[in-house]
Amino acid sequence: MKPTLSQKIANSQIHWFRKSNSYLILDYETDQLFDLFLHSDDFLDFKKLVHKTFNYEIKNISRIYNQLAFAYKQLNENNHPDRSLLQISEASQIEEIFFSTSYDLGHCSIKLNYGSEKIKKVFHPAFSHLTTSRRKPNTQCPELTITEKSKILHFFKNQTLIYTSPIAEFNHIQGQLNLELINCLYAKKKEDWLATFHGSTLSYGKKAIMLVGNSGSGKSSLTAILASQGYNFVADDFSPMSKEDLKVYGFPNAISIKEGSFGSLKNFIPNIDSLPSVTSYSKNIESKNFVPKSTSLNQSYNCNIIVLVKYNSNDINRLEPSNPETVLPELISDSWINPEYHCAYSFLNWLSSVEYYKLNYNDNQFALEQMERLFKN
Amino acid sequence: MKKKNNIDQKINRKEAIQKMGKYAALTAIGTFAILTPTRAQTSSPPDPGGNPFE
Repeated sequence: MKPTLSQKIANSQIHWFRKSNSYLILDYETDQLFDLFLHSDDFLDFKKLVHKTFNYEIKNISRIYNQLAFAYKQLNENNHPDRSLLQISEASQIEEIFFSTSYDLGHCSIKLNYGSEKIKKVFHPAFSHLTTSRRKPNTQCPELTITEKSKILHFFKNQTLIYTSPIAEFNHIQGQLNLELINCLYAKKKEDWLATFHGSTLSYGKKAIMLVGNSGSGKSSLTAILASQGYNFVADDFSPMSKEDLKVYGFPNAISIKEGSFGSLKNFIPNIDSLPSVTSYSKNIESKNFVPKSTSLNQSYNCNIIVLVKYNSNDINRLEPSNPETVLPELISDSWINPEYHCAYSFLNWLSSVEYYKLNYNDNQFALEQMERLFKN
Repeated sequence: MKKKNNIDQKINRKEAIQKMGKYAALTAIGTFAILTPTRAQTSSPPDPGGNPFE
């Protein structure tokens, strides 16, 4: 099956395959080969087409053909079954609540119940600054409960079990919790979102920039620095984009800073030592949650710059324009993107409007100055 | 000198594959990557060995 959608972005070609909800990104020459593969009946046919098309010798044609065939098979496999109830063999009920609280979301509040102290330590700190004792009357916000039974986390919405995950995949439950918070905050449903990106977003005036990178890349630390220096905090680690207007919406979580950054962030966040420590997601590593003063609850921004961030104490400082092939693996692989056709279409259009950068840094001040250039130019 | 060039070439290919993600493959003349979003909304995956429930 041919790609469902295709888009040229800078010097790359990106194809979307509906069945697997996967994106194939290629450079120009490899895209030519892929196109020949799609039009060929078998290897011999492919070989003939390649010889006809290219005026120079292509080595290892059989290896190329096998690679493309393998990729093609994966791209056309159904890869998005509904996994929300995979772990459930019988209906589950809420048995015990350890801690209940409400989070103030401005125009409404949402009630959270945590089934144990451990569960509270994992999920509550990111939102503890929103705790309120007064529950605002509203009809749109559900009551959410997280419990654990037999090493499986259960996520309830208004007493109904809607999602489960093994405890080692607690980030899935976090994602569902985050989704319910933004649905409540913005009166939306899951299908109203184009994506929830694994990235941190900040704004300056009307301009927004999304930072992406692996865990440990310095993305959250840089977000904390920028937020402490007057840039508007939009979201950390979870940046939701609306389907309707393709804007990134504010998400009210605290910024999670890992232990390794504490010392270097003191210049920017002088009270970092006094911030409460939280359960880390890695053994023997402490983290702290920083709540910036300037936040973007109930605001949304057009975001047309994505920066791939990599902190490395041994690397040189450098900000340079980048390309989709370098940045998109970090953006797409740990993000949820709505698998509907018109969402993929909008997503590809958005990607073609984005400027891509790569920031390698070992010095926080350098990173701050470079980000300032991007925001203010 | 030839050996050094071979090492440089290997490093460049390795860097290219690391840049491109899980399903990177190197054809004779270029690279491609298959990028599959998560099936549901998630936050950052935990670091290897990091499970606060254990």
